[in-house]
Amino acid sequence: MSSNEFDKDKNFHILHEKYQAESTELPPGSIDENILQAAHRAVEVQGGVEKSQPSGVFHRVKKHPWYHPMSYVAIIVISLSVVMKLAFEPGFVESEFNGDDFSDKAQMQEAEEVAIKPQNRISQEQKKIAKAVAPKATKTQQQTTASWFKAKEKKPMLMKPKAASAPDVSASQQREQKIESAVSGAAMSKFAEPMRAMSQTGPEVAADIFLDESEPSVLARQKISQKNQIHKLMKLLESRQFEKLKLALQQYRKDYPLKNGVDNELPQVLSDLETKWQTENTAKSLNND
Amino acid sequence: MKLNDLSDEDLMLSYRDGTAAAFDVLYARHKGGLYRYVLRQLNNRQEIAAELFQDVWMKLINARLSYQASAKFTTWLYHLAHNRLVDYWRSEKHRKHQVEYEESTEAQLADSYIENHYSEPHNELQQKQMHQQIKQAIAELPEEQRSAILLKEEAALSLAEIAEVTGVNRETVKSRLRYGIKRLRGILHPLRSVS
Repeated sequence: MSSNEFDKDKNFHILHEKYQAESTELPPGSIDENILQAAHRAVEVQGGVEKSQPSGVFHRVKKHPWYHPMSYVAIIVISLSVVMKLAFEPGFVESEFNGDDFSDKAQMQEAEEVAIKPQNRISQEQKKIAKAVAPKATKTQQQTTASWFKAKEKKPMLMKPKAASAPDVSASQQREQKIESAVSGAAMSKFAEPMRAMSQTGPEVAADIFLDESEPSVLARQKISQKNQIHKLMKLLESRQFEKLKLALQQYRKDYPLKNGVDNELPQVLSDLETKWQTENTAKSLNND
Repeated sequence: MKLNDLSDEDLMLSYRDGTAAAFDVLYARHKGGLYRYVLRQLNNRQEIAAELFQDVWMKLINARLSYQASAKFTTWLYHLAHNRLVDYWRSEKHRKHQVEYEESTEAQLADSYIENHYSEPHNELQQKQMHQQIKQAIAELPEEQRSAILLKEEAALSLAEIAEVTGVNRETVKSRLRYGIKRLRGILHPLRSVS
């Protein structure tokens, strides 16, 4: 049966006639307007630039699925959390730090500063909070802490120093090895030991251990920072900028107070200058009084 | 030559090249047929039909630059409509709509009967009832048969063109039309008696 045969079919013919007679529905007038306006606008837009979509009022705005913004937010949150996690991870920054990569001493020191700054800031903040919250440890607790450090020093290091077997090691390399070993040891026990202490002695001791500045990783960072400051002081001395040196020394002493009246790190010349200026200051203040 | 004298294909090409008035003529020619085709396919639900009808024309406007003169305009237009309907059916729960249709059609029939029974002459009433019956019978057809019959009725497409629009071969279209008419035969007896 071809198309014509369908047309000749009596049943179909009657159906067709009846259907056509009554089928007069038309789209609403508003739809007509919408479509015609969209068609005209499309041509207007096309006039200048070949565009395939009309920019009219009636053009449907593409619906962006909900998961697009959601995915962007998720990516940002995950990225931030990873960055934050890595930033607070004790071993991360130091593990990338390798003195061999820097031929120039100054470059190396800059890198050290960059690596250390956030950690110092954190430790200082933590220290403030801990001091505010936790009461002072008792003698027995301090002893527990001290014994923990002693035990910890004996623990094997996670990363072997690169030049451990080398017969001639320069001073800077030795320093790097010390830092590396201190940091790698700290990475292992940074959280484990305080947790153990908390279970055994209580939260105060745990907080002390956690925030104690003598903890190896903190100590190592402090030493690096201290050495950087001393280096700067020496430079000021070399360039004979005594006023600046005086101020810098005062700042240094604030940051690194004397321990038992001694500072083994500070060179003798700076130590002498400091003593001299301190004496002068004392004399001045006495005169003023 | 006036725009009204141009064929659909020439009008579409003209519109593609930037003559907005060509679209007006084209739209006027096909809006009724296309609207009814969509309306019947959607069981005479006017709101959805209007929305889909608009979508089809918008799609045509957006795709005007890709129109090739080798394709017959009507085939292309109804192909767009067919695809839009398929998308719609996929996104909707068809069964639910079927139930809705049955309820709404019954309600419509009842309303129509009550309204017309007392107010209009007997012959007019019969005519309206018959038309309602035809529409109902078409709506009750399986999708493929309904589509084939409507493409023939509303777009006046040939078997080959229907095959092209619906994406099946010519023989399948012929079979669908035959079965569709056979199913509609039940309502043709009263129509014959009237005619």
